[in-house]
Amino acid sequence: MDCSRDLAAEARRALADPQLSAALHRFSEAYLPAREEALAGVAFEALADRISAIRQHNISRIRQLADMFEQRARASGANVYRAPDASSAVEYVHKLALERGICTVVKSKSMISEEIGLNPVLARAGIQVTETDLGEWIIQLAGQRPSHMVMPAIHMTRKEVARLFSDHLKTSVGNEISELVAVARRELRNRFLEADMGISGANAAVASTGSVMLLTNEGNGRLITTLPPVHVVLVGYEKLVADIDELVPLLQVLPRSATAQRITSYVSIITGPTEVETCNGRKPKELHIVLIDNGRLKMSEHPVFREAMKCIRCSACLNVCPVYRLIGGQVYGEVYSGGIGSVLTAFFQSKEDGARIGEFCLGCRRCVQYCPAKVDIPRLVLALREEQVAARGLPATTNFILRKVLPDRRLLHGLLRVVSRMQAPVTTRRGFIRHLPLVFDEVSRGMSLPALARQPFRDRFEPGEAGSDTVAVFAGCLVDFVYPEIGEAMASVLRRLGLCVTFPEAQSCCGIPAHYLGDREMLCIMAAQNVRALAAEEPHWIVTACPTCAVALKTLYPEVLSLDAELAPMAETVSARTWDFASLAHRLIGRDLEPVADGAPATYHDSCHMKRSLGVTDEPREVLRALGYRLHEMKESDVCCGFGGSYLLKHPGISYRIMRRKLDCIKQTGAGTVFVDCPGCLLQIRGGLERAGIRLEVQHTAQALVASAGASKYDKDQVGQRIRGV
Amino acid sequence: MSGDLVEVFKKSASAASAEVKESRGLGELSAQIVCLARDHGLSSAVVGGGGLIERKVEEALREAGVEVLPVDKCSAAGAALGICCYEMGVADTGTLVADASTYDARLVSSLPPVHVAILNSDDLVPDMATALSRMYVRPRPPAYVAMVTGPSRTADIERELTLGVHGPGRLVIFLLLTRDGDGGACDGLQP
Repeated sequence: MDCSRDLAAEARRALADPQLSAALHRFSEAYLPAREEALAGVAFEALADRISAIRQHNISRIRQLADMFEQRARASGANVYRAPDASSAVEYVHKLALERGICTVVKSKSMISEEIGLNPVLARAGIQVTETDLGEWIIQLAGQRPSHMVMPAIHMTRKEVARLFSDHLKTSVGNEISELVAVARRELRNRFLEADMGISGANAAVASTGSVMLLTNEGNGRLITTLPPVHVVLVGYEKLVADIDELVPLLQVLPRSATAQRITSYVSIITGPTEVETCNGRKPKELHIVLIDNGRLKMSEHPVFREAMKCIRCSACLNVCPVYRLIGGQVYGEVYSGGIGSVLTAFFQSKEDGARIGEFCLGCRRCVQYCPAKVDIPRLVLALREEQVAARGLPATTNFILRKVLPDRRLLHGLLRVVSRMQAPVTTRRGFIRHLPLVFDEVSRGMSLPALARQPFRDRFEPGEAGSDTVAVFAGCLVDFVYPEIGEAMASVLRRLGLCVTFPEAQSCCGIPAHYLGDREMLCIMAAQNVRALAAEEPHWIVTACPTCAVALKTLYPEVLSLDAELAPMAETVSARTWDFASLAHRLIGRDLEPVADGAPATYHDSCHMKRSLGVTDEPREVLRALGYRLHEMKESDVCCGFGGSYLLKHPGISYRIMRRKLDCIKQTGAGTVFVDCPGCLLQIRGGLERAGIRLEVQHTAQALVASAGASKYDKDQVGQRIRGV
Repeated sequence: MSGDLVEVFKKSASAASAEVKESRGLGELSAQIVCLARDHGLSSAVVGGGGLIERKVEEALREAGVEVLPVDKCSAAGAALGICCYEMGVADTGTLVADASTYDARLVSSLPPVHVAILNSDDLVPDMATALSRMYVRPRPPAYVAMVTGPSRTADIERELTLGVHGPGRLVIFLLLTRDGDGGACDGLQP
């Protein structure tokens, strides 16, 4: 990648292109229902587990598989070249083309050929290279980069394609899509018939037989593997499978995930050269298989990043990514896009390039839910960021805030209190800040930021009577300093259940903001501090109104403290006792609520961490229904609101657009109140509504409960029993 | 079982935009193909393989005045109709499977705009796993296994599904029903 590329500026340009994002959004909306239909009768989770297991096993024996593949493919009559890097792969094909006197090449779509940069080298040698996939051909004629892995020309309208074809053919071509497709068929037909060489990728390489498998829809793959006398297959090590049986699950998920088809029109499995027609009659063709490493073996040996070798290049992760559908593939880089693209680029190109692309990842984890190989892409993007931060450090200001301010809760709280007093003159009556200077300017253009609370939760909290069943509140920064009323609502509900609510004073930030900036060391420091603070009081339960904090306490702390002999057991205890508020409330009183809302229309937004990290979706909805709200599900209720912690500061433009869409989905429900379980989502959605002038309530589930708690008849003994049974 | 597979196959293949017709015996099959050629003004054809079925179909086409061309890339590219037999059909996905190791087999099924596929209903298998395991039991794996599901398609312009890009825009599958013992075995592509 060109290091001088200003990715932020390119992202802004893509955001300003209404055609691109409209096309990508239409596709992403149509994709999920179509995928669902294609998956009817298929147990997706079980299949994904199987694919994941097969690929994991293959990664661990990848050199063996490569050896076997090479041997079997040679035995079938193919030539096999193992290319250690991009340039040697290109050189092999280049030399072959020169030796055979190749003038024309027809290609079917191959990501790896773009990765190694083959076309420009062949073109410089005077060889005519034609991309034959319709979308790729359009892009080639237009001299552009693909905007989508599966549909490279999705950003172009039929009119633009017609204009392009008219210019190319020096004749007028109509706007009908069927006519444009007919033009491509006619124009490319002779290229296929006359080409000296066909170049394809492969979707799999089978070790036990030396076969390669190709999936296509247009039929160009069959033509380029049939007509030219020389066929070159470019295939990466990650495509190796052990035997023919392993193709079955791959065939089951790849088309369904890529294009929501049960299967592609054509599947070809090639084992050795076949016969071809030349001017001197029939003869066996030449088959060359270039097995390309280019960073893949290193990746397969890496303890963390080997996971990315499981990727089957279906692009499901991109199809569901809220960022990708805004900016498209052209912004990310030359070849591989999105979160997975960042990891692949890191190994195939450079770590820096990969990490730069990775900055677009929101960490919303939606991709993980749909990945047929169960690749935890956001975790890998974060690991890449951590590597970069460990090697280069963070920018000075960020570093100061993280290192000096976050761990020192007195300093953090003191500073925030100063800010809280300073902002008083610019705070509106509705509790928003009028405008913000400097970096915050772009942020505040899209949304209203909340003012800090005059008095943080920790100062408002009053310890109640001591009791036998203690629940410790972990506030988290947003509840502590911005929305103390959520903390108070939570504490009040718990107290009315007869529980003794405590606030361990030494708690501070959960550390996830530092974690997401790539500062793992800081996460460890915060983990140790909070685990000590929480464990010291020996509460029976720990509850938080922030799902992100809950993920830190439940999942991350035991992981990062696992090697600390003293803290590891404490972290395990903290983890086991931590609840997100909605789940705890559902467990304790979910069925005993007095309905107070009288059928008021409401909707629920699933926070990313709540749904995809904690797996909680039904509990808050059941609580809200029990309270008497009539819930109207919004479209894409589980798509990120765009907050993403520091993402709002990193990419305010993208964050704003994702939020606008969320607001549209909310408005369409006709609900009067949006309920959330995450104070971050609350900040984002409330701020967006305020700035857009939409009068709609945004509330945390705890606030809904506190309104009715007085009216409800809890049996405190029963609550106690439930809690002890928890 | 075979009857169930026929229904499942018909449904899946139709869902993939293939046309599926049933033929009771070779005579009916030949007549149907002749009809198809006549109705759509398909005046030339290339026929792959050289088994009993293909020869019968060829004969019928010739008699009906359809020009049957020798199989090479130029005539296949110019022919209106390409005809060949398949060895298996996958009911679950509506997929045709053939050992297409011969050059002819691929030419006739990929170049002409209309492709007629002939499949013996006894050769239907429930799923891809069965098809692949049968295809790869031979001592030497076939050089080119071709699986075809519906016609050639693209959605590359404005995501609008359009049939017939580089391959056939129309796929007509004739299922040769052998219940009444009239059809004989479909030899697939083996001469």
